[in-house]
Amino acid sequence: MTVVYLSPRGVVVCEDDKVLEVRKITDDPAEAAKKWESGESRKIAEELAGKYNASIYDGPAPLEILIKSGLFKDEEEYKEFIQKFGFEMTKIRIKKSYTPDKMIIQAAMFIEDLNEIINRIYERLCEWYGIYFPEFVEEVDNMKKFFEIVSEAKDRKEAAKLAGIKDREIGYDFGEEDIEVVREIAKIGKNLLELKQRVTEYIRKLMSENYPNLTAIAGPIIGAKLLTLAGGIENLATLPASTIQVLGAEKALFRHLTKGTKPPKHGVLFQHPMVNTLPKSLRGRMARTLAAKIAIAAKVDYFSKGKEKIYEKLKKELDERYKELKEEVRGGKK
Amino acid sequence: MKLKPLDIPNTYWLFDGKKKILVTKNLVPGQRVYGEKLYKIKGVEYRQWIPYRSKLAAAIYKKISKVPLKEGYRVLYLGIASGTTASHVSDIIGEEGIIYGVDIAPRVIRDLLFVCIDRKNIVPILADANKIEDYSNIVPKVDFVYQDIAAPHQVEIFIKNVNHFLKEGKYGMIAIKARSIDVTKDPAVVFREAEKKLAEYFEIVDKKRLEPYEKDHIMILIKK
Repeated sequence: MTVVYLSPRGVVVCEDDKVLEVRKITDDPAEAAKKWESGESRKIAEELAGKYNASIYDGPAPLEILIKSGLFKDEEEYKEFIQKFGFEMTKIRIKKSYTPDKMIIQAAMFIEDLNEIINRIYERLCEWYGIYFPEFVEEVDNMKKFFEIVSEAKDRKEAAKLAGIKDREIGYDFGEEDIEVVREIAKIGKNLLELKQRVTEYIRKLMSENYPNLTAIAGPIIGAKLLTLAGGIENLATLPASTIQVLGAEKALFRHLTKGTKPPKHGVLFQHPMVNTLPKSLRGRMARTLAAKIAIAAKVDYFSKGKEKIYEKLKKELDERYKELKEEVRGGKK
Repeated sequence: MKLKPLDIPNTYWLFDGKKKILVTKNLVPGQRVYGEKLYKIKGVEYRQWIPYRSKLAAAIYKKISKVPLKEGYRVLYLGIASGTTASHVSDIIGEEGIIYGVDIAPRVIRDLLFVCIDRKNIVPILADANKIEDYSNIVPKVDFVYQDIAAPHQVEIFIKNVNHFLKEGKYGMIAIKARSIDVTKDPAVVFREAEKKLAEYFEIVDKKRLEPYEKDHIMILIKK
């Protein structure tokens, strides 16, 4: 029986005990990995199988044959080669596994991080600056304005002017150094808010470029959150719509599954304007329709690699459903 | 500090005062894989094997009847991840042995690559353990199959790989996570069903629950 043995180093054709032909592929593990992953190595085996009318062995080439063929000197050399080959092959596969959703997910998680950080800084600064100018903290409730003015103003008077409020001198007088430190921190807060804008723009761009349908239906931010919760576009495209509907409500979902409490109606989908503008009793039905359209959008985005755009039709159906439900509100629902 | 060897090569109980710690002899002295403690006794370095980090160590602490590893062994490790447990298997089988480590997640295999730079007896393979074709031309018949994969069909994956790669008469070990198979069922029920499936193909040699080191996990040792 003639058998063709395929190894990353080369191909060996054997008839029982005799070696008929040896085709060396390469000595270099990195090159071997490249040729292996591209399918070139297998093609050589298939060519030889055709030539000798033999079949390719469904397993690794036995060590004795590899040594007899001259491809390897001994087991030591084989082990060293295979280990380096595995290393290089895995490097290639890791690179191949890259998808844009990985970056989107990191950016989306960073936005969550940023929100926490910015809030902590804002709260701290309110307390700190409140020692100096409590009227300001009382009056100015916009975070961006707060950071901007505090980082800009060199003293209480200027801050009052920029904010357009009265300085009743309730606070304790800060020295120059005290003001400097607080200004630095406010500047960081301002920069972080800008960073959040920048990263959000980045997410929007990546989402609309790579996942146009998902972006059109769910929106770039909710879409990015869905990707994060699902763990990638492939996962999101594989999920049933019923799961998509409750992504983000895991605590409630598992409580329902294990303890039998009421199931959640929606997870992050609650943040979608079409869901949260409806009364409570209708949100579940809208979330269900929305999830169904998102499921389709994600599948098209994943399988067509972002090339097919079918969101026109989906959006139309979604808008119709929303109108339908809104009508029910007017039609005198309790 | 005193060392007492176990029935497993290069593995010892280290007695430090009242403390009893599981250690393996470090194949790559000076290398720490996951922040484990290193001990030097009479010029030889040993690595702490933590049962809360490694299920195989947990099985040893729970007195599983046998860990069928020998120096020079060929091992197929399914679910090798970053190489926490595998690094100890690597210590045990020594330079002459070889571990073919398969994992499906690029993120953790990436960490394993750094371990492989210094540990030459681990072959990293990024592949789905459910798709044997993807690595059957690289992995030969092995002396031991170890699996730690959290997936609903983990038992089926184990059976497939053992049937294909394990030599007759040799052993396999699988760490089963009940919550991955079915989060709503009682773990004891999940384990019973898993054992039944395994018993259709192999001889069940031993099984040990891994509490308190892991919750709702069981380690099953089979013989082909």
